[in-house]
Amino acid sequence: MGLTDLLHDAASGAPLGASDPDLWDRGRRAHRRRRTANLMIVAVTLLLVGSLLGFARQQAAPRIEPASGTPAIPERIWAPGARLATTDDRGPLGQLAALVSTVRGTEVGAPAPDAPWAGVSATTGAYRIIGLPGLAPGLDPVLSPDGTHVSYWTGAENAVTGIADYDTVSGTTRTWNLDGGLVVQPLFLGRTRNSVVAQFSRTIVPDQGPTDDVLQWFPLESRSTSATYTPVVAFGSSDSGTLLQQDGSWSLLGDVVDSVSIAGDISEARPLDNEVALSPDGSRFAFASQSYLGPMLWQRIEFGSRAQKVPKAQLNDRAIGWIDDRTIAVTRPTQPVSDAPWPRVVAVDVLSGERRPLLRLPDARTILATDLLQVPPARRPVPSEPPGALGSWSSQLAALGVVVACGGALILWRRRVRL
Amino acid sequence: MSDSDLRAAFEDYVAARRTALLRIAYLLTGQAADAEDLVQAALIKAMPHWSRIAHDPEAYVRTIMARESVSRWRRRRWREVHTDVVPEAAAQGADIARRTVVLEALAQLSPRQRAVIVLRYYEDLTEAQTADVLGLRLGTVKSHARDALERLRTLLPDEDLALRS
Repeated sequence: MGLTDLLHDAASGAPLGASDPDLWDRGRRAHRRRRTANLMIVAVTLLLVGSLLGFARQQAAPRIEPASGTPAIPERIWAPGARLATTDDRGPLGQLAALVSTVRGTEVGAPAPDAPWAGVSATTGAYRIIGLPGLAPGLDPVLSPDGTHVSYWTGAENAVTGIADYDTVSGTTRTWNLDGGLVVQPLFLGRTRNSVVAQFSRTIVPDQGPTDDVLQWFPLESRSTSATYTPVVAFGSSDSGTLLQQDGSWSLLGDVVDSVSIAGDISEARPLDNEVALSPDGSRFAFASQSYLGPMLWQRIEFGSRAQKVPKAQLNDRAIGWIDDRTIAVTRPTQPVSDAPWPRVVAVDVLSGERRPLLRLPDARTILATDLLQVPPARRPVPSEPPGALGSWSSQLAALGVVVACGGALILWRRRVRL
Repeated sequence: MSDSDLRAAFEDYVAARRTALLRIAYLLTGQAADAEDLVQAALIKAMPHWSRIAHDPEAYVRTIMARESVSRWRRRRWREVHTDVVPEAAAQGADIARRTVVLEALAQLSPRQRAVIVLRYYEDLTEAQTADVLGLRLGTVKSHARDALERLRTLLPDEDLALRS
């Protein structure tokens, strides 16, 4: 008997089991399960790839040289979260390079008015929430040009009652009551080397509008304050003093330099949002203009000077400080978020209009220590636990958990659908 | 062809070919229960493609059975316990004894060798068709066939394995 015959003979012993009438329906159910399993495999694969890419991206965070210890502004400032250590727990952070809001403004909502502010150390780049007792909600604080003091309005929302100054080195806070009336409307808060300068309007008689404007100085080294009640508009301050507009002329009311007045009508070159960038030595200032003269002007503070246009300035540029005698730092706060999620600060030559990148900020509310603009930006360590992000350990554990869970689910599922 | 027509064609095919498929599966697995499982699995896997294969389902089902027998053996070998005696050999008789010996000899082959032997010498496929069914190269099929026959001659010394070329 040949092999073929042997096989046929052996096959004749095969069972004759009854046909399964449900085979078609079972096949259909199995097909559905297999198709679902395939979709799961694709989803799990995508999830795994996404997790791995995210992990790799986190590992690829830029390597930064150790901090030098020299005070400087970090070339990139991160968006802080609300889980940072605070000065209440860890003590003062020391000289600051910047103040950053812990809640970023978005297209869908304004920042919470009582969100705390985080300081960025000028020497180490560390982040810490700055305890500012009595901070009036919704009013941004002011960082002194050298980064050693934070001045702010105190009181409740829409009920400002005073001024405070937090020393970032000693951790002490000085407070003053305003020479106010029934209602105080904050207008300007500035910081010179030796004083906090506040301008506000006040209502003395009930049911009437503001009756007068007050510009009040709060010297750090003295308990007495001084104030002027003449109509003035304050525009900016620096180490040197406070720049005012009075009777149609610019005036620098000196703090560490002699006061200077500049003749001439400012109506042709009115600063947008009443903000100017005053140089540390009080010799010049720059501002975004709301007039026809151009988007960005600068002017020397000396008798007879006139405003000059910064060449090639762009709409929405805003001057925030001086880097040297002919270079200003400019940011563009109204740039669409989709275009530049991390606003950039650029250095602009006021004579040639030449621009170069300088800093990256988390948002347009970031407040810089403007004296430090004169020092080259420093590369600072990325926070080991990036503010506002998951910690590296928790991220890795989460990624590992996802991988294990996905793998386990996949094995169980494949066992279930196996015929 | 409507869904009900497809179902009717499928059920007609199963009714007509079930015994033949069981015999192939029996040679491939050596176990009655496994043979029934293998046929059911192959038919269930073929069902979603029935509209495409309805005109000639045999080749498709046979391919699934042959490949599934190999892959199932891979999946199951770690949890199965081999025995020297095929269970169906309980009732002894001259013919049954011979079948048992043949099944035991087939069980000694590797799954691929067994599949090659069944397809070549039971289903009467050419080497090229066998290679196509199993998804192997022609040379691999030839070497499997040669090795399997050599083994069978050793395992079945009393049989004259007259073979086709």
